[in-house]
Amino acid sequence: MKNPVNIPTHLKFRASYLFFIIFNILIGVGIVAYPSRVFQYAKQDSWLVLILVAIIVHLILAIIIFILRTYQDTDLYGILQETFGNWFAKLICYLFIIYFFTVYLSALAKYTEFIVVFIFPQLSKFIIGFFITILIAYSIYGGIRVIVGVSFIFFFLTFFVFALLVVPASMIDINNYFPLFEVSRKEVFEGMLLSTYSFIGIEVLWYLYPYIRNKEKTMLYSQLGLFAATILLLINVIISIGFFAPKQLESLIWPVLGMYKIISFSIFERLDIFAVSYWIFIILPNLILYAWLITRSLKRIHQIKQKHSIWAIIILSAIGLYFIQSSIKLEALLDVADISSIFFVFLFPILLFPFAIIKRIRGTKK
Amino acid sequence: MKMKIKKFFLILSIVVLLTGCAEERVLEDLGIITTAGFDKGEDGPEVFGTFITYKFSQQLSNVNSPIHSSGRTAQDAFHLAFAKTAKKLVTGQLRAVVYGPDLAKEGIWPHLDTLQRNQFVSDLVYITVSEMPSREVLNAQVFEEAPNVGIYIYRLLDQVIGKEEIVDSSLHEFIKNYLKVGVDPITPVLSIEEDRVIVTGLGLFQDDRFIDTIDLHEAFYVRLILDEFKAGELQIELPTENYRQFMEDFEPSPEEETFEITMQQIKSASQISPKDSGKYHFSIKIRFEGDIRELTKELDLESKEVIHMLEKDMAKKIEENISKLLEKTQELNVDSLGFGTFWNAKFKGDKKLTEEEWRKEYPNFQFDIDVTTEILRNGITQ
Repeated sequence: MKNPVNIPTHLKFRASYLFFIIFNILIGVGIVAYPSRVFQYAKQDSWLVLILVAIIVHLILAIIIFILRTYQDTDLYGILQETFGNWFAKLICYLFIIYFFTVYLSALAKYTEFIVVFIFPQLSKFIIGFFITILIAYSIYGGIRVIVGVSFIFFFLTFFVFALLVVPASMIDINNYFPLFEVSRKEVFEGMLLSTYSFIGIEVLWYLYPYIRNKEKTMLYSQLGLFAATILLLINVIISIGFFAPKQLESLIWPVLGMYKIISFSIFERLDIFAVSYWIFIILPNLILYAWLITRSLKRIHQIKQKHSIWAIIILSAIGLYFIQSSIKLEALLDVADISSIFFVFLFPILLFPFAIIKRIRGTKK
Repeated sequence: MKMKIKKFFLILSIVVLLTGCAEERVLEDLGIITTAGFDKGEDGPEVFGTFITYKFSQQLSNVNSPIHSSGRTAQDAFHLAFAKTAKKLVTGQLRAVVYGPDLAKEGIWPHLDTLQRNQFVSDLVYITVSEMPSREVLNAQVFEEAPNVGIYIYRLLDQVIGKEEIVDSSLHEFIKNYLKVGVDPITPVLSIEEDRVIVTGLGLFQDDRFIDTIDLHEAFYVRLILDEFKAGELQIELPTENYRQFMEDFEPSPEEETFEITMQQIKSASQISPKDSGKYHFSIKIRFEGDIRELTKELDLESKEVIHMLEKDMAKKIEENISKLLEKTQELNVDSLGFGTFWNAKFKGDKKLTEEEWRKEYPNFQFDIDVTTEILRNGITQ
């Protein structure tokens, strides 16, 4: 083994926390737009498309864990180094860093867009983004245990805001779901391709794996986390289909936030504003985990301290936010993140899979 | 450790307090619009807007003083109203929008789209149509304890919808029904009587164009088909002829050919199922139960025979009224009850109705109406 990662035991965490981490990184800003995006292709059968994609993602997650198990105690950089050598490993990891940053920046830009549109139309995105990045920097300074802790606590906060969807759920029109299975094969495929963006995040395992104390439980808890996220997405898709008219759902950019517009309590009239502010609890673990992924991979390649590289991220994301002021530019960035995620999240593990099998066969021969 | 906690709370309190500085809005400086009315302008393509705002003053005066302004679109009219008040107009508390009949007959979708696009406007805003120009309705001087006529209209609609008299008519419902193929929107119709705003019935729309009004009696049947009742009320006329034998002190007179029966605590459930028989065929099954509250003729309600007869006659009468209502919608070619969506939910592919087909075929839709009624109780007397 060329490059084992030795993590001190006090930094390791139990595999059961993976459930919260995987769930949190999967549920982010994507869920807000997902129902209308998938509906454009799959209409009332969107839920079917989601289930099909989820099955594929479960398999890919299994492949990732299989590869990680084969190489034991190392992360993506270590695996690539062992298989392809130093030079190629660095190249791929750099590509991964660019990809992580694209996802990080698009999520941050999108959340600031919510705030600007729903609450403070005159406020600069730059300022909102700055306050959020301070929190992110704080967590990175705290290290991996803080990041895991944030995921754990925020998981429970997430539930509350989704529980409010009971109100729109009580107003659904059953007719909207029928007729079943009207969608054509081509539309299913297109819808599935689009749905992948909702499932980016499982790549966090590439770098998190060495930190797990009881590695034999990795498979169970990460699959459970993925399953929980799928269920939540499914609930959102089903409620959105029933709640909106088909053309209406297609025209909405953020249908999930739109559903909060119908909720009103006598002490709190506009729940949509509440939901947008509350979304920070959903988005923050996401951003923190991506920021950690970037700093962690930089540390692996160049031994740069994470406390230093986080400032580079903060400055770069501030510059990025300054340039992404219009929603058209934001959409362009999201499209880049979308397309690259298909390679980095879904194709990459499949490409690496044969090498892991070869290694296992060789290992048994020896 | 203590320092750390102190630092943490310092940062937290700064962040929390800073949010107040982001975009400050002093309540007293705001003109919070509660209801807006739009009419067609007197000359040209102008839209005439009427805005009712909250007043925060030491001496509460109960005088209604709407702000008027006109512009090329509803948004323009709102925008131009800034020069007519010393306060900053905001739409976050908008509760109802009233469209005048002239404007509503031309179609209100362009105006609704503006509302929908404005994220500060709640989706729960009531969309209504008025019988006379909306500026007259909003000029009402009697609004009970409400702070202004806008809030009064909101409370009125809340009360009427809460009492299960008419169907819900929020912005969300309207847009949903407008954008769906196979259903037309409905809104309450407002009018003015003795200087107070009243609800007179339901406005039927074809797409976004206001076509005709049905009164509150007919509105009951719209709800009966569309929604379920949990505690409704209904008055119905039955012929006296059949009940002559059960009436104790009956004196035949020509004016008393019919008698009235009032039902309360009505629970109902409806089921609409399309049938494919070469034509567009629908069966409407309605189960209906309630308590007798009032009879204009004295009947022997202890006899089972009478109850059965009442149940049967009432079912027949309800069926009649429903088919009358459906005929009316077919004449006007407005599918306010959304039979088109029921059809499209069942059939796929070629059999599905497109928007044009649905418009063309709706007057030829056929309905089988089957009502079963049950009288549960007859009040606290026998």
